[in-house]
This record gives sequence, C-alpha cells and structure tokens, in this order.
Amino acid sequence: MSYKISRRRFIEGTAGAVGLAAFANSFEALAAAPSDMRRLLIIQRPVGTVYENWWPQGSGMNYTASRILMKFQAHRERMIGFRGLDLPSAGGVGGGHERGSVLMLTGLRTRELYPGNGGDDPKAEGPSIDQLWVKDSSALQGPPIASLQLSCDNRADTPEVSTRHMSYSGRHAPMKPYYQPRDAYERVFGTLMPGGMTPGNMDALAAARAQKQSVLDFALADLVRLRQVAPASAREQLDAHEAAIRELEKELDANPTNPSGCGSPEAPEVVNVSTHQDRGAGAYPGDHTTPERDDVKHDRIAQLHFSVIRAAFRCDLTRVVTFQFSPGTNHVSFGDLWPPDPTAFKIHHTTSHDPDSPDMLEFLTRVEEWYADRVVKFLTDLNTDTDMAGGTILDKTLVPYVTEVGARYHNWDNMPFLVFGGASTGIIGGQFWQSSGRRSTNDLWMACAKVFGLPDFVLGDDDQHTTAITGLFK
Amino acid sequence: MKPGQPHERTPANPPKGTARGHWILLSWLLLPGPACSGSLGPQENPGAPVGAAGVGSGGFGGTATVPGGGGVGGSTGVAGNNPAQPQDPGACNPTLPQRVVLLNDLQHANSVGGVLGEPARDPELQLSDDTKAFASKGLVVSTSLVHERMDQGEFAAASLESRFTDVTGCPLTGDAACARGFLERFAETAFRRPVASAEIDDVMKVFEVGAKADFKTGVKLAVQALLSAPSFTYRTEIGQVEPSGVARLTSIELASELSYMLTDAPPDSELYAAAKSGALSSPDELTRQVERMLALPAVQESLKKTLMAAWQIGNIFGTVKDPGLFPQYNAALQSSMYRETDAFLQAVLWTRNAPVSELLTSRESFVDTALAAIYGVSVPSGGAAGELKPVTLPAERAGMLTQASLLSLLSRTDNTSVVARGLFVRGALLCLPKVQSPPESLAGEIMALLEADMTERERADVRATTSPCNGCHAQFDQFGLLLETYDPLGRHREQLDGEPIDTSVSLDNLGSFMGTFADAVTFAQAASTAPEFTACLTRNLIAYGTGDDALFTTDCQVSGQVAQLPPSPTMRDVVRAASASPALTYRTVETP
Repeated sequence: MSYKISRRRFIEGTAGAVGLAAFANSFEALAAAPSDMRRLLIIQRPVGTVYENWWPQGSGMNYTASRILMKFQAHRERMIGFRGLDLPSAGGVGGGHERGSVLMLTGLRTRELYPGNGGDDPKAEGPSIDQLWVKDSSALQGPPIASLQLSCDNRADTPEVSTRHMSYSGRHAPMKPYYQPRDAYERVFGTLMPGGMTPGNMDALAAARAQKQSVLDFALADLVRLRQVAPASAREQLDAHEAAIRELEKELDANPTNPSGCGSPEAPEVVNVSTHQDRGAGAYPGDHTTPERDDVKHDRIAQLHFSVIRAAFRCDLTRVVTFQFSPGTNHVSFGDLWPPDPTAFKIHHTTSHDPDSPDMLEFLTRVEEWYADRVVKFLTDLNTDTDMAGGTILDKTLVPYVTEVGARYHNWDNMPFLVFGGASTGIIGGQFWQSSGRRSTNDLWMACAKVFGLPDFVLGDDDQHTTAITGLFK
Repeated sequence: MKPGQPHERTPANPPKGTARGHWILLSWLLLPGPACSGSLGPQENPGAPVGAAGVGSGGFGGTATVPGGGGVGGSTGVAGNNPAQPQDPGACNPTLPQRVVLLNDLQHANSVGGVLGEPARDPELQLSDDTKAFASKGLVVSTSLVHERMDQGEFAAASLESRFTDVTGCPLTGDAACARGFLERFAETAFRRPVASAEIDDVMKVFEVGAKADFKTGVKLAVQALLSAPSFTYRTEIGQVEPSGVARLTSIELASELSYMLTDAPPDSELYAAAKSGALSSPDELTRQVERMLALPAVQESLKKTLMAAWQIGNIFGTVKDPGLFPQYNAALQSSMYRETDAFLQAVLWTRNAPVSELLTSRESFVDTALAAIYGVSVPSGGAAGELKPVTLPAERAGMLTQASLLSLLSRTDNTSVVARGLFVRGALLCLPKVQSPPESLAGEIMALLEADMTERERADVRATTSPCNGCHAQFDQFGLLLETYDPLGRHREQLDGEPIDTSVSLDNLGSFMGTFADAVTFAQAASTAPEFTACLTRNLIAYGTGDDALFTTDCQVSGQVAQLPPSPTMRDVVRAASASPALTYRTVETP
C-alpha cells in the first residue's frame, strides 16, 4: 500500500468530519509530482519609483545597491533588477497609471476605453500573464483554486477599472480582487466546506484534529514506556519511530481542510478602510493631507492578506496570486513619512502630482521603502515556511514585483521591476540586468515563462516584444 | 567451533581455524589453485536458502538475484556477543542481544485481524502468505511504515461501526465504565501482555476526546490508538537478567515469539493464558502448547508456507522462459507448479504426518493436465477441471528435488542451470556453508562461458578444470549435474543433443556425502536421511522465528535440538525441537 494513500486517508479522516472530499486531489497531486510544481506571486506597488534612489551603480553581478534596493539586500541572491524595460505602450490608449496598469500584466496594446471614468480608462485586450500561465502550465495546476486576486485598497480616481485590476481572465474581462482578507480567507477555505465556514463546520474540524492528535499522543506516550525497558541498541529504531509519528503530526498541521493547519488559525478580522478621497477642484489641489492615517490599516490588511497567501501556499490551495497594495491612482495616506511634518498624514498618489521638490521626492522614496520592507518580510516568511513538496515555500515560487508607471511623471519606460525567485525557479539572482537598447516588459515575461515549463511562450502584439531575455534563469 | 564458545560473526573467526583461513585467503588472491574452502570472507548465511540465481542470469555462486532475495534476516538488534560475559562451558550461550522486534507486514496485518477479526483487515492490503518472505531483512521502521500501520489501525477501528456491541459488550450509548472495561481487555489482547492501569488511564484520555462526539466514537478512537501504538507493532525480547548474566525472555515474550514463528500471528488465548500464568516457562508446558498448535490447520498452513518461503517456491511467479522453446510456460503453469508443491507438502507434512525424509523421496504428488504433461503421466480421472489430483510419479522422481516448481525456478530462460540448482541443494536444502560469489574480474569470462554453445555439463567441466573457478564450483556444481536429466520445465530427459546425459557425480566430502551417486534419485535417497537435511530444516525454522540469518546448523542452538530428534523425525518432531531451542529464550545483555 502506498504511502500516498495512507497519508491521505489519515488526514482525510479529518475532512470526513465535515463531509469533504474534493480537496484530496490537490493533495494527491502535490504528493505525486512535488518536484514539478511552481508558484507565481505577482506583487504590485503603485506610482513607480524615484529613479535617483532606485538605479544602482553598475550593473550585472557587480552592482552597488541604491538606497531603495538596499532594502532588498537580504534577498539579493535571489533577485534580479532590470534597467531598460519598457511597457508596450506605443499606439495604445489610456492615461498614465491606467494604461500602465493594463499593460504591465497583459502586454497587449490597449485599444478601447471604458466610457466615462475620466476618459483614460482602457480595457484589457487579452488575459493577464498569470491567467495565461495557469492555463498552460501544469506546474501551476492542481489546486482547487486556480488563482487568487487580492488588493489592499479600492480607492482610486473615478470608478475606473484599469487601476483596480491586475488580473484579466480574457479580453475586457477584469478579475475583481478581494479587498477584505476575511473574504479572501473564506474564499480559500470556505469553498471547501459544504455550507461554508460555519461555526459548526469549524468546530467539527477542530474536533477531528483533536481526535487525531490524541491517537498520536497515545502512541508517543507508549513509546516513552517502551524506551524505558528497551536496550540501548533499540534506541535508533525507536527514535525513527518517534520521528515518523512527529512527521504525521506536522502533516495534520498542514491539513488543507483546516485553516489552522495551514498556518492561519483564525479568520482575519474585518478592516474598515477609510473612504476619504482627496478631492478638490482641478487636479489634486490642496496639501493632500487627511485627518485619518491609512498606513496602519493598510499594513494590517497587507499582513492579513499575506497570511492567507501563506496558508494557501502551504496547503497548496492555490499556486497563482496577484496582489496589489493599492491602485496607481490611490488615496492611501501615510504618517511619519512627510519630511517637514511627520505628524501629517499625506496621501501617496496625489502628493506625487505636486511639482518636484526634495521633500516630495523624499516622501515618495520613503513610501517605496515602506512597501519594500513589507515585501522583504513576506519573502522572508515564505522562505521560512516548509513546503510539503520539499524545501521552503519560496523555493518553488517566482515573485515579480511590478508597478504601473516608471515614476511619478507617468512614464512607461524604464520600468522599475524586480523579480525574486526561490532556488527551484533556477533564477540567476544577484544581478542587475541592463538592456542594450530598449526591451519590452513582455520579453521579461517570456523569460519568466521558462520557470513554469513554457519556454516557447510569447506575449504581446508582434511589434511589442522581441525575444525572451536570456541569462535570467538556468 | 565448540559449543559454548562465544560466537563472533566476524571474518577473522571463520569456523575452520583462523590460520588456515587466512592462508587460503592469501592464496586465493595471489595464486591459482584450489582456494575455495567455503570459509572465505564474512560468514554469511551458511544455512540460508540461497535460492535460485535467477532465471536468465549466469547463476553466480552465492548471489541470490531472484526477487524476494535470499537469506534470512530481519532481526532488528545488533548481532554479536558480549565477550565479557561469564561462560559456562556446558551452556549454549546466546548470540542474539536483547532487542525490540518489529512485526513484519504480514504479521502486523494478521495481528490486526487476530484482535478484531476479518472485517478489521484493510482490503487494500494485498498481503498473502503465498509469497511471504523468509527473511525480513531490510525491514526498518520508516515514516511510511508507521503511517501505513496507523492507517490500518484506523480502518480496523472504523470496522467496529457495524458490530459495536458484539465486539465491545457495551451499548451504543454506554458509559465510561463500560468503555474502560472493554478497553482493559482489548488493550491486553492487542499488546499481547498485561497492561498497567496508568496505560489504561492514557487510553481513557483518548476515549474522552472521542466521546465528546459520542460514546461510540470515543471507544473507536481508543481502539485506533491502541492499534497505532508501538506496543502493538513491536514485540519485545528483553526478559529478565539471570545470575549467569544472560537475559531469559519472559513467558509473555516467549508466547509472542513462538506464536509469530509458528503462525505469523499473535498468541491465541490458550497460549497467552499459559504464558500469563507462568506455566509456559516449563519445557513440558511449552511442548504441550506446541503440540496443541500443531493440530490447528492455520498453524500447519503457516509452517508449510514457511518452508516454501525458505525454498523460495513463490519466486516462480513472474519468471519467464523463452516462448519459442517453452510455449507452454505461462502463469497458469506456474500456478499449477506452485500448487503442486503446496499440496505435496501438505500431504507429507500434515496429512500423512510422514518422516521429513519423504520430502526428498516421496513419489506421491498431485497434478493437473499441464503438470501431467510435464511428468509424463496420465491425468487421473474425476474431479473438477484445473483441480490437482493425486498420482504416483514415475521412478525417475523423488520428492522436492525433482518437482517441476523447483526445477523450473532453478533454470534460466532457455536452459537448465547447474549452478542455480547446485547452490540450492547446497544452501537451502542442506545448509552447507555459503560459497563466495565470483569476483567482478571474472564477470567477462563467466558471460563468455554462458554464451558459448555448450551443454551445462560441458560448462561444468570447464569450470572443474579451470582455476580459480574449480575451487568454489567444486562445492556445488555436482549437485546441479545430478539434476541435468530434468529440463528447464522439470521434464525428464535421457538425452541432450543426441547424447545420453551422464548424471553420475563423485562427491568428495561435500557435507557428509562421499562417493559416487548415479543420479538425482539416488542422491535424494541419501540426502533424505543425511544429518544435514534434518538439521537444515530445524535451523530454518529457528531462524525464521528469530530472524537470525547468521544462525549455523553447527550452532548449539540448532545442533542441540537436532540431537534430541527421534530417528526418522516428522515435521511435528522438528517443530517441537525447534520450538524448544534456547535460541528462542535467551539473549545477551548489553554492558551499560
């Protein structure tokens, strides 16, 4: 009898408690071909970067990190930076943040606008990269949830669509993200349970888990007694037995039917984001302050979303996630970061429209650093979590870090993208890639496709890509 | 080696004199010449059933390439003696240490069925004693093994659902007192030993967790815990240390050991009761229990399968032969051959309670149409199609050695195998000391010899007149040559390539065999009463029970029991003698 089957049964017993069945397939798939699986996590922060504090000295393997890049130092060896990548914006329609948002993951020239919405809100002409890959790559397939879309804040200029969406399932088909981590949590775990995550279901899950644990506890107690009478020569054998029981304990923890087992013991609380929008006559007049700071809640939401992503990855409930901190045209306010007055709560996007000043550039740089800190922590956490397929969760995960414009002046060239990859992705990290001539961001996606077993993948209109960038992955 | 001497299983101490062994080792390496004393190198498995060298292989000496492996093993302790122990020259000092023994997969599954009945067995398991291994070598506790067994425990507990009150004696909504009463009894049965009340307290904690759902769940969860516990999946051989410094197994431990040896299953209630009362410590009671068990069909079946495992008869399944030469060799024929041997053993060992010598001499066997063609007899009439019917085989047959199963198994795809057959007789049948495999450097020459267009006899002649081949092959080729009048399917033949087959061999101090033997039948007659044969049977049984693949027929644990056998012993006699061996009862104690 195969180990696979027995493992499933022991853990399925917990699922049986709440009448589940379907998830077992993904669990089986994971056990069956763990070495082939991969994950994709695309993270977007808004409003580009501040080039003065972004570009490194030098390029290739010997670059000297800039102020903002230094934030990522802990992950330098698994990171690639890029200089000379342009969004495929030529001949398209839509405003700066808006067009950029659509182009960054779909790679297709925008042609149509949504009515209203400021007249600069383009539609997507095709699926986004995450949706293309999850459809074609077996490395990304298997889990019950094909992909997950998350965002920390919904506020944007106008009801525009483009800046609020990273993922598109097809042409003109935006995939709405979950804003509340609670909703994401219930999506990830609740759909597995008939009736959803009712208290009754959760109680049954907890009870089943306790039952399994009691069986293991008894075995361990028995083992203690056996050790007391056994000769020393039996120690190795009994140690191995104990290790096996403890491994089964850990697997109970990783039970995909049980959120606490996946590292998410409680459902996230609901976080009510401010609805304040920075309005006024004209283009963002005023000082862009708000009486209520958003960054604490913004951080909280991000952390809660991250914990859902971690749990979903740990239990292989999904392998594809697009995560947006906020839309390019956001209204998220930050305290502590405005140099002249740390007590002021300054709104990110609207402040970026002010004329250049040292304070404004410093503020934007600090916001970049704020987002960088959170991304780094999340990468570190992913690199701590054990993957049931072997290694850490990060090992098999590719994490492109993107933004919808180059900098505050809404340019679509010199996109400050980074790509992080775990060991199994084959990433040739520690380099800052520099193009000779202009290259399309599509060329980067084409290179990344290799990680997912799609070496011949092509993205974009014929004049919007050349070839996959080489030298990024083994 | 004298009885009572510490028995060290190291290459430095071959049984036949250290100095000579070393000289011979050197001469083997440096000079051509008769060099194979049979005592070279590590003393592995001299009595082990070496088994067929594998259909299609060259039949290298000593290697068992047949699936299922050769040799006996599986003891989980470290074999070896403590030289600091006091020695009593008259005593038979133990060679196995105190240890904790993992039940093998068959035994574990039988234990589940034994304590909770057939419905408790997981049908996904496909364990059959038809193909049980003689040696549990390589059985180590691993994550997957622990998980599989816990899984079986869960399945067994779930099987209580439909027969809860019958099994537990408690109503569906009983109370903790009823649960405890049942679990106390069940724990003792499952653990095969008395269970302390602190252990039951722990079991009741599991009950309470499950009882939060309902009473039945509580009891089932506790049952699952007991079946998932190490005390279920291991048995101990720790015993109590006697003044002489050796450990003597307790009656409780002996009952388990004995039961798994004879039945691959836990002790039945009578054996357990005798152990619990301490009565089993008396040799008379032990003998009484063994005799009682020998009358049980399940025990007879298990012992028969143990012998078949020792001779690796089960390996016949899945072997292939050249379909151009042997189109009739298919799964159905293999099955018939296997069943013939099974029926033959059943008849000799149990139905007729015949002397074990008949294993090598009896011509009473069982055939169906396919086997009748092999043996050149007419099929007896009556009975259902495919059923094996009793026949008397022709005079060219004599017991196991000339049975189709063995002869087919010990052949290559397109030819017989003198080497495989020879090694089988030497090792599995007679427990003569093992012969070393040929060195890698000779692999090319061996292949060339196999590929040459020669009869097996001609090859044997080449080996007999070539150094260094003759050194080792002289130890077993002759046995194989005796069987050349049986083709790769076991059919009798007088001629090969138009030439009459000469099976006459001259045995020169191979074991107790001396002189000329005209053919297989003559040899089988002699072997049937040779001391090696009975000693080998005895040794194999003891080794199966203790998992001690390093046991020699010359060890006091075997020879002492053989000495007690009556003349013309039956299988019952052999089992009684083996069961009484000190190999089962005494263990060395580690120095702290």
